[in-house]
Amino acid sequence: MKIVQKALLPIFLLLVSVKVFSQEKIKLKGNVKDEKSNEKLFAVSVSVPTLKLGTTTDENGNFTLDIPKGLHTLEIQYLGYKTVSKKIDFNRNMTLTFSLAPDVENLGEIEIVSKGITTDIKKPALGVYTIKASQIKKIPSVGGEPDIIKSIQVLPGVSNNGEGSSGFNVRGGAADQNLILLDGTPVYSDSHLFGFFSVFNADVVNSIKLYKGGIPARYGGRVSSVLDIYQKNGTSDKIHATGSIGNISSKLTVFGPIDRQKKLNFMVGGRASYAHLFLKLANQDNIAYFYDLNTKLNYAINEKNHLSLSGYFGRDVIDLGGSFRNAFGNQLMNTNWKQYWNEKLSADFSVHYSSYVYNLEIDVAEFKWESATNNVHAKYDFLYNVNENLKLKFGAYGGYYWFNPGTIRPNSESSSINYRKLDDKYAYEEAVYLSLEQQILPKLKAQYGLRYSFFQRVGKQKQYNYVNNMPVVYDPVQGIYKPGQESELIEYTGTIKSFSNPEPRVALSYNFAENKSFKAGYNRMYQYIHLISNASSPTPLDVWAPSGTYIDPQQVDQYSIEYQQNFKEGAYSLEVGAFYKDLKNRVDYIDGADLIGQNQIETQILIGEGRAYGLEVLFQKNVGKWTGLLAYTLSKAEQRIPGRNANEPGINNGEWYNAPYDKTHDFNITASYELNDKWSFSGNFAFQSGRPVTYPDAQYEYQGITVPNYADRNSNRLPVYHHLDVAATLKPRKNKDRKFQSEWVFSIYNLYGRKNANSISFRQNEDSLKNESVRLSIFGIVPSVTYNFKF
Amino acid sequence: MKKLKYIVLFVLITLFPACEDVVELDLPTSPPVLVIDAALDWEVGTDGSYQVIRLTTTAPYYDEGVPVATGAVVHVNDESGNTFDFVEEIATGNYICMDFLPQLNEKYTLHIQYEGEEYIAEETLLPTVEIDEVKQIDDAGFLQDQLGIEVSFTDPGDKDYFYYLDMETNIRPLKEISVFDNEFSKGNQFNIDITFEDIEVGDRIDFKLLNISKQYYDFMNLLLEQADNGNPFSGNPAKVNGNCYNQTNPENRPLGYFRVAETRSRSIILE
Repeated sequence: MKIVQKALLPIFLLLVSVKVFSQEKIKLKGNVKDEKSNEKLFAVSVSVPTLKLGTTTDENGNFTLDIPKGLHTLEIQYLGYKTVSKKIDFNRNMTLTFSLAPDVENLGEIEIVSKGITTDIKKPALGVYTIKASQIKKIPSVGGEPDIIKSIQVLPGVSNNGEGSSGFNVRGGAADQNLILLDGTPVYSDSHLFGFFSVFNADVVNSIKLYKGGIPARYGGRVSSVLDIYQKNGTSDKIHATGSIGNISSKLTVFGPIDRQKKLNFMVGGRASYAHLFLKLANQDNIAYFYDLNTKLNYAINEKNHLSLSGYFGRDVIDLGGSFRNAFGNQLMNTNWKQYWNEKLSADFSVHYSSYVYNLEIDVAEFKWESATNNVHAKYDFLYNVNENLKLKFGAYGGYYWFNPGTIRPNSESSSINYRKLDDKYAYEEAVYLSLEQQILPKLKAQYGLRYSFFQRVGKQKQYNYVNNMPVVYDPVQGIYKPGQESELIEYTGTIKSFSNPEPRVALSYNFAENKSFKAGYNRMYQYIHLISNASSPTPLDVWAPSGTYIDPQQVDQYSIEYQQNFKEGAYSLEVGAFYKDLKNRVDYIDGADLIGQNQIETQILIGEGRAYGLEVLFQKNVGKWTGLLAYTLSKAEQRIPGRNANEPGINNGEWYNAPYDKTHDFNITASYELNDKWSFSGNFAFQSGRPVTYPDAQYEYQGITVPNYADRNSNRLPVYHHLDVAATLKPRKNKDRKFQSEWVFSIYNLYGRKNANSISFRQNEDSLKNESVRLSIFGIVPSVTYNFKF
Repeated sequence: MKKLKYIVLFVLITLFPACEDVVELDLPTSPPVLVIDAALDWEVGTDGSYQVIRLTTTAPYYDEGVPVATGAVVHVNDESGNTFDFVEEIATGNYICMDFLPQLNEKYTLHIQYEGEEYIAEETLLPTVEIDEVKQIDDAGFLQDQLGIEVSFTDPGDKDYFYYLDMETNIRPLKEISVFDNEFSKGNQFNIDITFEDIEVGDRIDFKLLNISKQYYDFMNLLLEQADNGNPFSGNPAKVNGNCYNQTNPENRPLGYFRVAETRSRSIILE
C-alpha cells in the first residue's frame, strides 16, 4: 500500500498554502521543425530542466514558455531527433526557431521533464489531456500490449464496461458519442476481439489528445468527447525500426527516408495476434486472430507545403472449423496538405475515407451476412495568428455517408434463406466554424466560437409513413410497445429530411495566480449518426444509422468548471472539475427490440432525454523516481423516456433511470517507479461501481420452463469492479553502447485474480433444475512477457 | 433474425478464456402476481376434448418451485356460444376441461376469476402446416457433427408465418422451445435440425410443431430471451407481458399467455 500512501499524501498537503516565489519573468515564444524537411513538429517537449519548467509544441510546432529572467539551459527533445540543449540569457521577451536533426541513438522513449499527462494550466482548455505514447506504455495491460483505449480510462470521467467490452464512456456519455480520429479520420469501431485490444497500435502512435469538455469548434459530429490520435511520422535520416514480440501478439514498425533529398519519408507498422490466442480453442481447425496495418507517407514539397498520406487497415478473423466464418474491421485513408502561407497564416486541407465492414457466414444457418458503414469527407482548416493576443481558427467541412445496414444471402443452392437487402441509407454532413483564442486581460484568456452544422438525409430510399405518424404504438391491453401500422411506402429520391444547427462553444481560463487557474466552459454539440445497439457496450454487429424522419439529431449542452494548480514548479499538479450535461433526443429501445436485420429501426425505438453530472479529481506526480496519477470521479448518468401521452408509460413509467454506463464511483491509481537504469516498475489499480443492470425480482413457470421476471430497467448494479495490474521492465545494461535497444516487459494483469462480472445471467440449472445466477468473468490472472526492440 | 446476434456473440464470447461461476445475489422481491399457463393444444388426429389450464403465482427468484393458485373459477367461450368449464383439481393449480371443442380459425375467450379480480384473454386457433418429412441425420448441431433429426416442412409463403417448436428428450429433464418466422425464408422448405448434447442411438427425441400468431411469437421470443439470458450482449431484460388482461385492476397485470393451437407431434427413437 505504499503507492497509495505516497500518492495520497500530497492531497492532504493541499490544505497547506504553497509558497510561491515571485520572480520577474520573460515570455519565450518558439517554433520547432525538422531540420531537413522543415516539417513543423507537434508535441515536442521544450523545457528548462533546472527550473522544472516545461511545455509541448502545438500542431504547428509553436510553443510559449514563461521563464524567470537569467541564464538558463533550454532543452528541446523529440522522439527520433537529437536533443537540442542551449544556454540562453533570458533577459527580454524573445522568439526562437529550433531545427531538430534526426537521431539514430534516441528513437526510443525520451525523458521529459514533465512525465505526466499534460494539461496546459493557462489555456482555456477544460478536460483536455495530451498523452504521449510513452505514458500509455507504462500502464500495464492485458497481454502486455499497450492499449490506448484502456489507458485513457485511468483518467477521471472516462470508463468503460470492464473486461470483454469495447468502447469507452466519457462523462456519462454512450460509446457512440465519442469522436475517435486517427490522423483526422473518424474510426467507427475502436476495438479488436471485444475490447481485448484497441485498434490502435501504440508503436505507431505519437500522442493522443482527449477532449471531454470545452470541445473546440473545429470538432463536431459527436456529443460526448473527441479522442484525437496522431500517428508517428517517418524519419528522414535512415531506416529505423521498433517492434515487439509477445506471447499474444507481435508487431513491427519501420520508419525511414525514401529519396536522397530526404523530402519523402515513410512509416509502416504491422501487428498481429496469434491464432492460438484463445486457450479454449484446442482444435486446430478453429482460428481467431486479428491484424492491422498502419502506414504514413510524408512529402515535403517545399518550405511551405507538406503532403502526407496515411492509412489503416485492420481485421478480426474468426473461423470455427470452416462452418462459421466471421471477419470485420476498419479501413481508413487520409490525405493531408499542410500549407504555411506566411508567419501568420497556415492551413490544413485533408480528405478522409473511413469504412467499417462486417461479414459473417454460418453454414448451419445457411446464410451469409454483410453490413458496412462508409464515410468520405474533406476538411479545410485555417489558423490565423492575428497578433500576440488573438488567434483565429476557422474552416469548413463536408462529408458523405452511405450505410449498408445488412445484406443477407443464401450460402448454397439448397439454402432455405432468400436473398434480402435492407435499405441502404445515405446522408450529407457539412459544417463551418470560427474559433477565437484571445487574451482578453493579462490573466484572462478565452477560446470561443461557433460551429454551424448541417445534415441532409437523402434518397434513393424507400421509407414508410405510419398511421398517426406513430412508428411505435402502445398497446394498453397487453401493456407493451409494438411497431405502428404502416400507412404508405414512399420512395424518396432527393432530400428526405434536413437539419441545421448552431453549436456555440465558450471556454475561459482565469490564471489568477502563478500556477493556479480557474476555468469555465460551455458547449453545445449535435450528433447526426447513431450506433443502433441495445447491448451494454458496442458489439461488432452493430450498425450506425443516420438521423432522418424518425431519429432527430442528439443535442448536448455541457457546462463545466475546473480548478487547476501546479505545485513545486510543476512537480505535482492537481485538477478538480465539475460538469453538467443535458442531452436531448437520446434513443432507447422498446422491451424486446429486434434490431438485427431490422429495416424499420423506427418501430423499435423510443426517444427521450439524458443528463449527467459529476465531480472529477486528478492528482499527478510528474517528476522523480516515482511518478503517477490518482483519479477519482463521482458522477451520475441518467435517462428518461416518458410516454408520449397520458396513456403511455414510456420506460420505467417515465421516471429517470440509470444510463447503462452510469458509474457512481470511479477510482484509479497509476504509478511507476524507476529503480535504476535497468529496472522500472509500474502498477495500476482501478476501482469502480458496478454498472447498472436489470435483475429479476421474481420467477414464474410457463410451459414447463422457469422464467425470471425482471424489475425496472437498470435498477440494479453488478458487483463492484476492481483489479490491480503490475509490470516490470528490464533494460539490459548493454543497451547503452549500441544502436540496437531492447527491453523485456513482464506484466501481470489482475494480480489478485479478481473475478469481475462482465455480466450476470439468470437461468435454470440443467441438472438440478434450480434457479441460479451465473457470473461471467473474462480474465483471471493474465501474465505476459513482451520483448521490445528498436534500432 | 434477432437471435442471430445472440448466437454470433455467444459463440465469440465462448472463445475467451472466460469463466462462469454461480454467485448468490441479494435480489429484490416483488408481491406475487397470477401466472396463466393456458395452452389449449389440439393434436392433429385427436378430438382435443381434454385440456388443462395451469394457474400459479410468481415467487422469489431463488425459491424452489412456485405456489399454485387455487380457488379460481375458469371457463372458455367460443364464438358459437359454447362455454367450456375448467374444473379445479384440488391443490394442484390445474383446471381441467373434458369436453373442449376445438375448431380451426375459431376465436376463443378465456375468463378467470381469482381473488376477487376478473381476468380475460382472447386467441384464435390457427392451423399448423403439414410436416413433409422427418429423418435421422448425423450432421446436426452447430458444428454439424452430431446425431439428431431433421424436420422438414414447407412455408406457405403467402404472408408472414410464425412457428413454435417444442423439443424434449429422455436424456434431459429440461425441454427446449424455439420460435422462428419466415422473414428470410418465405415460401421455402424449412429443414430444422433437432439434437441434444451427448445424444446416442436408442435415445428419444419428441417434438411438437405449432403455427402461432405474431403476438404469441413476439411474446415467446421475449420470454425465451429472459429464460435463457445467458450472454453479455443481450438487450435489456424485461417483464414479458402476454395477452391476459386484468379487467378489475389493470395495474395488477397477470403473466403468462392464453394460446389455442393445432399441433403436430412426433416421437423418434434414434437408430
